[in-house]
Amino acid sequence: MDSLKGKVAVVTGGGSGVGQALAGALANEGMRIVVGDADIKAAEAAVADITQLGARAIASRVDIADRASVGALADLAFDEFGTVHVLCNCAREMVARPAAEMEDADWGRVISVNLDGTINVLTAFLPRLVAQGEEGHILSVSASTGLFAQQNAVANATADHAAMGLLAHLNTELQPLRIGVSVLCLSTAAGQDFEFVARLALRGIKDNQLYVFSEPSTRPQVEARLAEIRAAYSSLIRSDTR
Amino acid sequence: MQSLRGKVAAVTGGGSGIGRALALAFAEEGMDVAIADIERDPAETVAEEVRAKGQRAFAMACDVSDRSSVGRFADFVYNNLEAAHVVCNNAGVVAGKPTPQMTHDDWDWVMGVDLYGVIYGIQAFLPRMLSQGDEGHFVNTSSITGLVPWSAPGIISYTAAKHGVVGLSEGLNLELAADKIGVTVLVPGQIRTRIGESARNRPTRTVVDPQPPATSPSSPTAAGGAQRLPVGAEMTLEPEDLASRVVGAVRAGDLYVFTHPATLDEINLRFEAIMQGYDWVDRALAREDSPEEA
Repeated sequence: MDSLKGKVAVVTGGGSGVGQALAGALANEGMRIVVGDADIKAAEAAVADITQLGARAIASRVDIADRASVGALADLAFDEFGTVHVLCNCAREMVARPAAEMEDADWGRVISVNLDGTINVLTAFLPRLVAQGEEGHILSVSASTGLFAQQNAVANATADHAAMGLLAHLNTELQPLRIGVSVLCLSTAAGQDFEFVARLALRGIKDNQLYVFSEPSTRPQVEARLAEIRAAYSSLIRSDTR
Repeated sequence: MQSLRGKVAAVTGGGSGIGRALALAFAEEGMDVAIADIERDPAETVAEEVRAKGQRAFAMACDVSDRSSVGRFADFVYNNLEAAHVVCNNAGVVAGKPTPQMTHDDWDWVMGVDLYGVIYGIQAFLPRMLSQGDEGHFVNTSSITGLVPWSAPGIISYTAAKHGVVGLSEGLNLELAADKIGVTVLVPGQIRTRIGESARNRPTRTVVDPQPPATSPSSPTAAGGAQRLPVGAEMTLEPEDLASRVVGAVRAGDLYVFTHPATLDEINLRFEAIMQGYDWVDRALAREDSPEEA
């Protein structure tokens, strides 16, 4: 979507990291912002920064893994501003542990935020977003763990691949309704420049770009995965013609 | 796992379709089989078919979307057959409606069976397989929909779950090789099963228009997104044909089992869309670097 000015954005995980930076970048475009975060103090601090720049923003505590909490965030946003155009789901969990040592709680942390959280946000916001009949955009953060296998990341591989497939499907389904979808793939390494990632995400929203990779160096691993799949097909084709 | 004779296979969703064919194919290789299914009677019928081949077999009613039920199935397998060597997380359902109309109830059932059921299977069996110390193998049933988001309406939950099963399988395969645990993920096209009749087992029986994804109406390919079914992929294979490929893959330690050569074209398109994302970011970075445009 080209024009963001005067419209409304909801940013979950907006109290810190890339969510905070993105909330600021969207406010800078003239949007009104709802900042949701599990840490209400962080959300309020982010809102204070935004309002200092002269934009309107409100803060809310939200537990992305809790359906009722996400539903309440949607109610708050629509009650306060009457409309939502841009939805940024920036809450994210990462558990780095060997697969053989993963405990149920490790799985639960990742699945409940990265996958269930994405579903919760869609279920809470999408019906109203579609019903208002206007242009919109949904952005959700992910990482390269949703693109190819990595050591010590099996729960993320599961949740992030699932969310990636979900969003790719959603992109096609919502295109006729003029609602775009972006998957913002963050780096799994520490020390990413969130201001830079937020600029990239903003460009992705404006360009209606599905895959927004903040870590272009991962391309060879994706190519290697495709090569492995192709090799499996070539043995299939050989066995068919045997 | 070169040698299967005398070992134990456990199969969820083993009462019909791909699961039944897997149970019978592993029995044919001389394995004892534990069969779990949401429907007890079909599971018991398959157990009788396995016994008719001279192998031990046990059947149990199991709802894979319930973590404790899957835990009880693992107990059941170890109590009756003393081990588990090949664990097939196979149970699957499909149902859906346009995404903006989907409620939590709609999401829960498909995600619960098709993805969380597989996770629970790993959680219940992996620690025991590791402490058992033998060679082991997981067989996880995904779908071509786990790599290619079709544009068919009403299958977003199925698409998400099956993508998750592929990601889980690839990740486990990478990490468990050192522990002598192999992983195979099934990525079939259309197989003749009763998955289109999944609604028969939905707890609330409120399913709207269940449809097997690979036979759903399709729309033209959209840039970067879901794709239509390729010519040739509509050909329906029998579950037995898939099961015999799976036996070969378990022996060889193959990660992927594909069935329809034509579906590779669609996988290529999906990866092209991903690569376009890398091209896009390269251009965006070039713009970042040129100060007059920043």
